[in-house]
Amino acid sequence: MALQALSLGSEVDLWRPQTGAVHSAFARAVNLRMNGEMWTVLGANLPDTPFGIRLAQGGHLALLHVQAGDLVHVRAGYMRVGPLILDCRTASRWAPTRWPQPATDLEVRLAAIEQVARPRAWTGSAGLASEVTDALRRSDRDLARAVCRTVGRGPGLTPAGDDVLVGILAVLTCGASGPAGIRATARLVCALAPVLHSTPDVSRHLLDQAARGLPGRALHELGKAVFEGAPNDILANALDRVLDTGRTSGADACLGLAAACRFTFLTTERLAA
Amino acid sequence: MSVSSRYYANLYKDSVSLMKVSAQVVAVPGIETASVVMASATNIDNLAAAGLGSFEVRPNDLIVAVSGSEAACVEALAKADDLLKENPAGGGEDSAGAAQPITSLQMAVSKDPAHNFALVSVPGDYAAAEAMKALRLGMDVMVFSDNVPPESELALKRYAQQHNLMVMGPDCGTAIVNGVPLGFANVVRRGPIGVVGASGTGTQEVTVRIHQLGSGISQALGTGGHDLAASIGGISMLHGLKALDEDPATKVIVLVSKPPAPHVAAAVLGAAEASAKPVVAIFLGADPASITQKGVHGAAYLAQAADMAVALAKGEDPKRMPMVVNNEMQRKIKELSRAMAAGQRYVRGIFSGGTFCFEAQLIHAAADIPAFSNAPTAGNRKLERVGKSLENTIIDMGDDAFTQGRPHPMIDPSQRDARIREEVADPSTAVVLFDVVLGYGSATNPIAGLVGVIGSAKAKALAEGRRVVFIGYVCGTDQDPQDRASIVAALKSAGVLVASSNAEAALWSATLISDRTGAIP
Amino acid sequence: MKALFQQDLKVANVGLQGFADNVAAAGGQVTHLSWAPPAGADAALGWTLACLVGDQRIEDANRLAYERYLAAQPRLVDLVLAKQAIPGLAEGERRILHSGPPIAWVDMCGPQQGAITGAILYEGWAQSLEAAEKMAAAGLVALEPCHAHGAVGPMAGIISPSMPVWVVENADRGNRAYCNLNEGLGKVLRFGANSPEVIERLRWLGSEFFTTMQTAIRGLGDANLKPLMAQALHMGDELHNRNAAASGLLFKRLTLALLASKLDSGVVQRALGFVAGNDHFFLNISMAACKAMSDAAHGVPGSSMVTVMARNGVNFGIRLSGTGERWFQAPANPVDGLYFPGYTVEDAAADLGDSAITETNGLGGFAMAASPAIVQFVGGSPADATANSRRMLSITLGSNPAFTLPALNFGGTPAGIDARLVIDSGVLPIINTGIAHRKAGVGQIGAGITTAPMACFNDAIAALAAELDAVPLNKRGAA
Repeated sequence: MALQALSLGSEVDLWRPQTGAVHSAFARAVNLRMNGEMWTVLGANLPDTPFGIRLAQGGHLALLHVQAGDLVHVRAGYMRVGPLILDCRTASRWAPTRWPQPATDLEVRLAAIEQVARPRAWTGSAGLASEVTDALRRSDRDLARAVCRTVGRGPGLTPAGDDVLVGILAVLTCGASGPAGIRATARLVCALAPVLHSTPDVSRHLLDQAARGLPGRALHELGKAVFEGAPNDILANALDRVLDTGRTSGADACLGLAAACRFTFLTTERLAA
Repeated sequence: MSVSSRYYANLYKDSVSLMKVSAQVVAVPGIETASVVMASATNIDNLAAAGLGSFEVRPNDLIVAVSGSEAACVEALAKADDLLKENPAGGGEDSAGAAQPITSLQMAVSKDPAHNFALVSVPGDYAAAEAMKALRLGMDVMVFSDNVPPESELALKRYAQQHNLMVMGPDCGTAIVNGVPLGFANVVRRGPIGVVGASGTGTQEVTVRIHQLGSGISQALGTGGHDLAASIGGISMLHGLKALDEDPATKVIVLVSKPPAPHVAAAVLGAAEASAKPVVAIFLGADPASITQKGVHGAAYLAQAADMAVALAKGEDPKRMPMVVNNEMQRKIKELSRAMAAGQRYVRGIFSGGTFCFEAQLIHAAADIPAFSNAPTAGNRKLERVGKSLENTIIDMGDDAFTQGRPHPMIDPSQRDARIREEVADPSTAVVLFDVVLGYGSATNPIAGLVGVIGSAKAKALAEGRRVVFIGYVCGTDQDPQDRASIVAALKSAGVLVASSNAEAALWSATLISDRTGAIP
Repeated sequence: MKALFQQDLKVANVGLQGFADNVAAAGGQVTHLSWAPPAGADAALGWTLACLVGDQRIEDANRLAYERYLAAQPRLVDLVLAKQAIPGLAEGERRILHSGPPIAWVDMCGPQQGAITGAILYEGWAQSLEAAEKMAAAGLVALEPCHAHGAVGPMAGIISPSMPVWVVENADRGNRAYCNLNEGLGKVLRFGANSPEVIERLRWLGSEFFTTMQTAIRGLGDANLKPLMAQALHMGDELHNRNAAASGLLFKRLTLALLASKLDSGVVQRALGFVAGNDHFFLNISMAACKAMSDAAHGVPGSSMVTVMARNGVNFGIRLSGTGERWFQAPANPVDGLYFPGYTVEDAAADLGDSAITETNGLGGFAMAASPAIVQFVGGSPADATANSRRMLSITLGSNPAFTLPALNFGGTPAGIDARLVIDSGVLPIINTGIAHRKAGVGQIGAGITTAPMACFNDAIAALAAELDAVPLNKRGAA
């Protein structure tokens, strides 16, 4: 069965031949294990990710034919996923871009986001978000403890705690966060390393991608809209796109994003070098 | 006498198909000559030279040209028409349900990106382009085709180098990749020995011997006959060596070639030395001592390279044993020599494998027996008229000189059989030395005609008071599509001395010829 | 580590079938190609082509060109006189546009010369056909391709300053394309007829019909053409040789617009009567829409996407997005088809017209699956029509999701011809076409299927390569 891809994430290179296997298959998305990376084939209505291959309309029906363990082959702009052949020659590319410095009244917008997101998030997420960002102001040991309590916590294919961390990392790596963000990211990655095994594969990969400054498009565009001071309707749309992700995943990430924004831009204390 | 012809626009058929059609058309009673070829410039010249007339050069089109009686020409053209319209895939392209034919590598990849290897055997003019496309589409490639311009080979191999891909060839006849035989290759058990060979039959001899000794092959990679020239620099051999070095399934590496250009040899041996795995190298014709250095073991002949590799794979010391003729065979050889007529003094080596011909010459030369050949080793002389043997003659019947417009002897041995008959009829022939190569690509029944030829030619010679000795070697495994055991048995029944390696067969021949030379004042 | 060793081998066999048979017999996976020398058996060009496969400059350029093509939104915005829209035909210019690539008057086919003569008369630049002919022959009227002026015309494709032209605008990028009015069947200018009644009809089209239609167009509720064309594809049109459904859909919109206008009912009746009586009325709009979509993709350096296919009754010409205004021409291929009673292949003109702009955009022959009737002209079946559309997928960059074909499981029509794929695969773009009589003024004498000539694509790729400087070594000529 042959399909066309609409868009590819910036990290997906379909001209370098490689093989992999299907990790997990769902109706609207299929995760692929590709030589240490995780790529995801997405139905047309899902937002891009840097590791995503987004299909043309109707693609999600075809995904039903794919099973975990199916082989994946990449060659010359084409991809075979189980029985599906994806023609990606003319797919457009999506890559995250640098966020600007946040406009004034950042706090107002963060509060607005939290107000919408909190009821849709897991009950413990807000607490985890502030725990981790607080710990970023303290010692590595405190951070390790906070991270340990967060990774793998809560419900979902991607545990709520992981989604909170993804939100935090999206801010720390957004470029506007500067050297402080880079340092905080490095410390967070160190703290994550020993506990990543305790969370499901898909989530582990998403954490890793977020830590490398490669979050999904929905979260990325929400952050940008927040920082740019975009008009309310654009901000609301962006927020809706994020909240659509999973049952609580999007909302959990929003809380992480808000907490990290406060940590990076609204705190008067300076981090130790 | 009439000459008739017909063009078929935009119809392409490969050389093997064309030969098959030609053979059937020329068999029509009353036909003198027939030619079924693509109307390229070269072929058009050949048609004119064959007296079939002058034609327009239309490289995209096919032409059938026949000469003979008028009625025969009509019949022949009709026959050609029927044969050309046959579609081997079954069903025309325009029948509604038929799947679209795959006409390009790109199309094959678009239908299934799992294609990871291209095997190219189109005419030399087009082979480089197909190989380049394969590489650019992310496939490793084997190029069986020969007559590819050296600049193209270099461009291909440079590109491959930059993209961690391998070009096996051009002029690569043999490979075994992931256990799959490609081109002319034998069925060999999987095992810990990896081979990189610049020669097809050389690779066949080594892999077959490894199987017979109970071991096996991880990969047998070809480099093509020109890879180790100065202009190419051994790019493919170095890639193959590195790939096997990094392959967990490979424990021992064997390199097979004629002596490379000096700086290329240095580069290859340097890389071999740097490998963490033991390497056996045979540069046929070079002194093994010049090869042997730390971690690299030089072999003198093909079977020996296999022996040494198998020993190394078992963790044993790869002693390089000189090849000897055992006592029993020495006695037998003397006996046979004594039974010959006075004038019988020469060896006639009739080979289908180029490297077998080469190795046989080397072994005779080491016994001070010079020979003529159409592909002479250093020190031997070129046989000018390849159709007529002169003194000691050892020929490669797979060479271009014999295969223009005719099938390779490994595919169709009838020309080889006919030549053997001629040699036996020559009163000065003492030994007829030959090879039978089995495996995929070779004829299903390679000795169908040979046993009869040996029988009748032998009898005829005997009637004239001559006893001719036949020495042969069957290169194959018990798993090959042909039945090796029964082929060996049939040859033995026909009185052929069947050796266990090409080198041994050549050594037996050299021993007998030395005896003859000694016996003849 | 060599990745190949860790994978299952899957061989693509190019050459002797025996090798493929052996791999299969040995238990391996193999695909045997039905290979023939690419690029018309030109070995040097074949090497050039090989070096362009996977060239990231071309891939990137094609991606951009194709994206612009897909994003195009052609809208029927106006009907004006050619002199008002096309600078080259402005007041004071003596210029007439024709279909296909550039061609001198003396080389033109009968229908095209006849049409030009008629147009000169229509413009009043000469008073008799003989004088008009002399004028054309003397070079007193500039004769240039429609394509050189952002326009297209079917068959002889004649556009002169006083003729009305559809104005189609691509809402995405703002580029515009123009096409003349369809005069109907039989003795019409586009088949080379230039009798007084033809000129008379042209005058009516250029005056009363023109002003009526202009009012209608300017009053159209919905000017978007892609959705209308997509709907027509589901109703048996392929928008080159079959336009009845689209013409009907347009008729609905025009009627409503005219009923809402203040125009005299007799005038409206004559105009609508003319439209209703011409099942090919939409063809010219379809062509302008396609021209607008193609133009959006044109002009991307390095792109091998075909943006023009056109014929002038002698030669077939193409353009690539990446090679600018250059034409790549070759004698047109013969048409495989049926002739109306009384006519044979001896009577036929060579392939003629800019209407192959539809195939260039995935319609016409490429959408044959939507409109199988044409295959009867070549003794085929509806399954063959679907197979033809499918086969075109192997030479295009993708399929256009805006134009779906039920017979292809509602997949998009194959669109965006990549010239590299044409010469590599040997699959030629297929064109549904009418056949004109080679004598001016007789009209259509048959219909059938033809293909674009390989030589055009060979030359185009050679030119693209030369500009890309992609070839790494000196080409060797074929032995």
